[in-house]
Amino acid sequence: MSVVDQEINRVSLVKDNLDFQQLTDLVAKPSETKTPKWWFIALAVSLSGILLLKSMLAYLFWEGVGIWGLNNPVGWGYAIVNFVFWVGIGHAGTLISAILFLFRQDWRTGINRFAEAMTIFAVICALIFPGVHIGRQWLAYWLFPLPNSMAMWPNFRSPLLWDVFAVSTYFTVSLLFWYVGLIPDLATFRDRAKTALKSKIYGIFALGWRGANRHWQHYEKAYLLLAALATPLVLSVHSIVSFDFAVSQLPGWHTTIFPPYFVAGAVFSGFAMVVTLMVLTRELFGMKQVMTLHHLECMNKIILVTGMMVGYAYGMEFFMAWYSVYEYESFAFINRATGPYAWAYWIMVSCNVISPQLFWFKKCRTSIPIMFVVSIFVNIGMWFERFVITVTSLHRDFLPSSWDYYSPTWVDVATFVGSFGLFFTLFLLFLKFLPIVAIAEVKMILPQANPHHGDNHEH
Amino acid sequence: MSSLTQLKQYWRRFKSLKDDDVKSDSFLKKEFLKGAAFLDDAVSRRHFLKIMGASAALMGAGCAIRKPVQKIRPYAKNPEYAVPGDSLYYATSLAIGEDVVGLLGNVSEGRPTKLEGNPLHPLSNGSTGTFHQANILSLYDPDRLQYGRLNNNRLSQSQMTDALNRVYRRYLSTEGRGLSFLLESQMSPTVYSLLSKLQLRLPYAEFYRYDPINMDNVKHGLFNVAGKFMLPQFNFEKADVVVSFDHDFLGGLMNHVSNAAGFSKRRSPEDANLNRLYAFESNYSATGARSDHRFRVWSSQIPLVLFQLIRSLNSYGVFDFGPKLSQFNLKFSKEDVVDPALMNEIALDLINAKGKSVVTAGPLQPAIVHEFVYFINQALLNNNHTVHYYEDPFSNFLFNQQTSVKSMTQLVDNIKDHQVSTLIVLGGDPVFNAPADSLFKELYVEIDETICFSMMDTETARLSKLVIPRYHFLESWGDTKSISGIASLVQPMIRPMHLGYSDVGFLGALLDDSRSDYAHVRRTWRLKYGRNMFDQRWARWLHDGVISTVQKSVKLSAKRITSKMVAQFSDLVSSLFTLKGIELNFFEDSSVYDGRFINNGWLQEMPDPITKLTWDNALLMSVKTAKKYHLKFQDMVKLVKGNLSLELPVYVLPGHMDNSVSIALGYGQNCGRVGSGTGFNAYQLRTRSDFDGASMVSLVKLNRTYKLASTQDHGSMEGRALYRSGTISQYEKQPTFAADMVQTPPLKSLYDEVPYDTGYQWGMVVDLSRCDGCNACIISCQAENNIPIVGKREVLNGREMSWMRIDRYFEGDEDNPDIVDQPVSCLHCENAPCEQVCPVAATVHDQEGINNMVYNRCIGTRYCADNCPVKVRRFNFFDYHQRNPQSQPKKRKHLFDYVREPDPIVQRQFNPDVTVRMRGVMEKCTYCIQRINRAKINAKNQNRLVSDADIQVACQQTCSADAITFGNILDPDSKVSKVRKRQRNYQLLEQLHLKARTTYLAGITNPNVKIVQLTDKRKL
Repeated sequence: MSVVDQEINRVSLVKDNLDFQQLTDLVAKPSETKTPKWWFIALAVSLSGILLLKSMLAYLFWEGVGIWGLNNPVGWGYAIVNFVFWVGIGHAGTLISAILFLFRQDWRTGINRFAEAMTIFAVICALIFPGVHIGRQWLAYWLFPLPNSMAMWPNFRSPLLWDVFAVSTYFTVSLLFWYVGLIPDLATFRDRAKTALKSKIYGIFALGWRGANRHWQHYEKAYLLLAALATPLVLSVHSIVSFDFAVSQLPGWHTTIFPPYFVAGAVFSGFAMVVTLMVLTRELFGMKQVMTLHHLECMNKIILVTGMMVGYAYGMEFFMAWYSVYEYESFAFINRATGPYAWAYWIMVSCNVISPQLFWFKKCRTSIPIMFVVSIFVNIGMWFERFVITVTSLHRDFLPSSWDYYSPTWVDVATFVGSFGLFFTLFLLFLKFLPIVAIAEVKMILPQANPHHGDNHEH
Repeated sequence: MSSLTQLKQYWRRFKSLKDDDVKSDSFLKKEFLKGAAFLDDAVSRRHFLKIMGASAALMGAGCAIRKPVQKIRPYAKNPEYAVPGDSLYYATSLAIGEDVVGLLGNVSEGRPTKLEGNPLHPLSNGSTGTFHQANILSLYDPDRLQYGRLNNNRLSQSQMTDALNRVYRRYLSTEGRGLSFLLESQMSPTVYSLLSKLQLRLPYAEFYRYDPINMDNVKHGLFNVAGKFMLPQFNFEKADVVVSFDHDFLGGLMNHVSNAAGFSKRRSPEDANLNRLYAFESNYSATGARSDHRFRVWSSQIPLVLFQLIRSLNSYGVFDFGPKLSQFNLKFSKEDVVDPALMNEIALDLINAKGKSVVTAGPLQPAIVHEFVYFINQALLNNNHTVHYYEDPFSNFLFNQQTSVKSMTQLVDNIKDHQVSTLIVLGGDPVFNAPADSLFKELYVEIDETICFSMMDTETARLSKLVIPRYHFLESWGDTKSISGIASLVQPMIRPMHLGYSDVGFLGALLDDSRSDYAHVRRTWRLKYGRNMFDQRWARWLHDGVISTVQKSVKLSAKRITSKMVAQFSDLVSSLFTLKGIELNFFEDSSVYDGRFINNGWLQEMPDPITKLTWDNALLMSVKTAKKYHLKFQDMVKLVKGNLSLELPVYVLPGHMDNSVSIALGYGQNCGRVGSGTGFNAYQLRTRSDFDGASMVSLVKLNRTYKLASTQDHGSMEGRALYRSGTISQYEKQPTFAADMVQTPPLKSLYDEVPYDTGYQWGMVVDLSRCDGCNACIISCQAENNIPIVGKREVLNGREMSWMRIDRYFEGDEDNPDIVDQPVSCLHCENAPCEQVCPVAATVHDQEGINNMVYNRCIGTRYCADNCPVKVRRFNFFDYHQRNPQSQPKKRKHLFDYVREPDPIVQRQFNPDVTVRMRGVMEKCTYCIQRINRAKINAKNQNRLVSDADIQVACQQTCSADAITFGNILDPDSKVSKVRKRQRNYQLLEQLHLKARTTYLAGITNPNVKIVQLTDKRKL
């Protein structure tokens, strides 16, 4: 241990003083040993979720958006709520891998692969919704600026178009980032493969990685560059998603606080989702030595911080509504807290603002059951946040004559449930077939990786 | 010189360098193989093309996916004036009940697609009401009777004629003994001439009449006074003060078009001095909503209120009774229904407007009330000035001199006495709508021979032995004569689509008369006007749609009140105080009238002007009554009246009279795919003794609810400046009060603002002071723009498609609030919020300031609707044409296409100038862009600019109150540019910097200052 580490008494990021070999064995274990029964059961459940999603989408394409609960004032409902919800979840991964990487937060190495994978899968889930929520799904490609004989371009003033670019860019960069990070570990898997097929497949994706000095040089440069590229994207993507609302003029949507508020909310929900999944995975796959309680505590601290930011935003919205002396704005917020959707609003507040307050206490922060429950609450709360923003603003806007109540249909609910099926299917496949911990990166922060490891500084 | 040979030798290939080098040669061969330019393969280019061609041909042969073939054929014989793509207009007229309106039919390629008012017809003046607009859909109703039916066997046209002839010949021998006719209101001189012919040939045949909604009480009241069957018509344009006793002259069908036109002329302060309307009523009517002072009273107590007015007038020495006031032997407690101080003010107001006021009572009030209303108008010198009386032109027929109830009673009695062996029901649906206690239904099936002449498969038709389909009026020759004497022709615009007869043809067939309908109608008028120049006249009549516009009122000398009238009146008023319980009233429905429009989807889905209910009727009651019986919206109750009862849901209507309930007539039929299962049959509670309502009932709450589909769930304006109104004194003090109500900081757009200062710039102004919320604009828009109906479930889901809506807000206390109506459709904002957010630029502005919807480009993100502050955009959540109950499976199915389509008959109604939208696209008001473009093309062809005369948008055209103005706002001569400059003009939500092209003129009311002071004092 270095002097600094000794003096500030840093917690070691990997427990039980694992060496390189042990670490590789640990991470490679799920893909090399017999698949546990629970995995098959979980996969079956998730696959039926996908089947549900597919049938709901088929029904939607056949029959039209009318099978959802939307109506005239409430033109956006579950589909948009789910979109923002999934995009929000997809924030944690890139934040952990890019921003924490740039800030040299070494504890990220234990969880970044996992979080990035979750990001990719969440964004895949998110990407389904904008494409299918439109009235004529077969024309969704018109959202892209495709050259055509009529010189008809999309409307570049529309935030929905910005969304298309923002989310697709984010997805591409996140995917690249994740993949680049995977290369050395894929090579490890290739080298350890016991069957030719396995070795071939991992080999293809490992892109011929041999761990040469030059490879490492390129790799680290690329990784740094991608981290630098991804960092502004973490902030931009949800800012732009928030523009969908903020750029319109609907009271309750038309708010300048939205971009930072959405980003904070996204990180909040993303971290909560990582905690939920990590608590389970480290238990089921025996990764407790790499995904330590310390990791979880760090995550919980971020959840507490972002939760407070979100709470601040809720308060500030009310302040602005009052301060603006604009009756429509004030009404929109009073209606949120006391109107027909007050139940949704108070679910949101109790889940997002009140429940994370437990994390002020170290005991709660480090208690697995408590953090699991709180993280689920936060996920619920953040879904409701999007519901509250989207629906309560729309259902009572300027002209009371148009006011109406929105309630989802069974198709709305089933589609949402089905999207979880897609998410978990991808996630389970990831758990089984890919290194869920960035082996190479964790090795770098092992004490053994320190060039001065074992040196006697005393002499 | 050998210098040339001295030049360097350049080698081109190996061979040239060293000919005998074999190695290099083989190398060359490898590099440049012989024939390398050709594909040296088993499959040559040609072979490849052969295979491709063959497989493409096979592919084509194997698939049956083809676009549906629709052939367009040229006319073999071109109809007169027909230019493909251009509409032709033909004049006609329509009588519903005793209301007559002149119409123009817009015919596109032989299909009438839209009805407009006939500007030459004085009762229409170019505008129409809802029923007239919606009647075009009834023409194309696929549920119409399509062939004759004899004991459930199909009859061909000739078999029907034979059947009718046989009836006639059979009764010729008995001179008509045992033959009876039951008629509904007829306004056709030719029909009456044929009826008199029938009476002549079959002198013992009996004629009865029955109309569930009628003017009998008015006619009989006036007959008691003047000895003539007359109906009044009001000149509201000249009336300064109007007092309505339970008369919904702005909401009811009878003369609605002309009433609204006259009344609204006195509601714009710039155009004329405002009139003042006092309304006494129990149900909240459209007239009550337009009134300056509305008094809630029981309908049954109207006679008492009338007496109060008489007393007040008398106290000012105006009302000359003949008999003394004290002769009114009224046995009632001294409690007045209306505060006498207020009544004195009303009386004073009337006296000050002597000769320039109107007092009127509703057709459901008993005859005696109409007698006294007549005398009040006489005392106020209104008769022959603002109130004109016209003799019913057909009152010389004895059956027309009977009231419906009395005539029906006689018929029922005769059936019981077995004096009726054949009953011919000439229109109407008496089995459904006859009084419940007459037992008409039970007796009807016992008659030996029943013949029903009906357009729809009504309950009567289903129980009749012989059913003869009736043509729609757009398929018939005929004529109409209004009560006031305006005669007009009815001409067909399309060949009859199904078997059957017109009204004239039916009687002709019955009379064994082989003349055509056309000949019959011509004969009627030739007999009246003579042969001289008849053909020229006839051509002119057909062209103009009117034969004579002379309205000859009866000039009545002053009449005296008899002591008999006084006694009757006293008895009536005294009897009111023995009534106990809850008062029940029936009223004519704004959507189905007496039930005849039950299968008309447009009308069914049209929100009621007051309740905003669609697809159903309900029991209307006040907030207090609902509280008293622990009832709320949609609770089912059982109404019990003697041994009759009816279960129906509750609608709590603020402003309804307490302890009084109202039901609209006409619902609860099993008729047609659209109309079946809608609403509740109020006729089940209607008896002969209390035919006009005002009966006492009891309420039983049931532990069930019933979903009612209302298009507006929220009635309060939440204190927002949306509908802006002021009193006339406020307006005079500060004419720009409406625009001043909302102060905005200097507004600036984020994007460059287009000046829109050249060319045509279209704009609309809606005068809220004139609009009476009658809904005609909504139906007109629906007919013009191919707007689908969505059905009750989708209305419940909040997905109605109507481009235009009338927002109704309640103001004031919930016991007697004001109701205001605001028509809203797309405002065509210059800075349209919808345009900026559409990702595919499917909604864009044109140079003329119109916010266009490009259906082809729309992918349906609904973002535009979310960002529309007035929520006027309508989304096709489904393909509603496919989901219409009258749609049918497509004959030829193919991949990726719809499986159903509108019935081909319904398709004929579609306006060919307007796209029929598919599912998944957004739509909204286009300012009738097809009409604008047509006008522009016409004007351009004539090398001039479009003026007001060239364009009327559909809503504007039909509006009888003239509340909607449309045109070029840059043209200083256009009406719209002038109206926009009026000081009442304001923009909706101006703080959003919409720069809307549709603006509003604030509503102005004209309350009586003294009454306001008095009521304010009471409140304190």
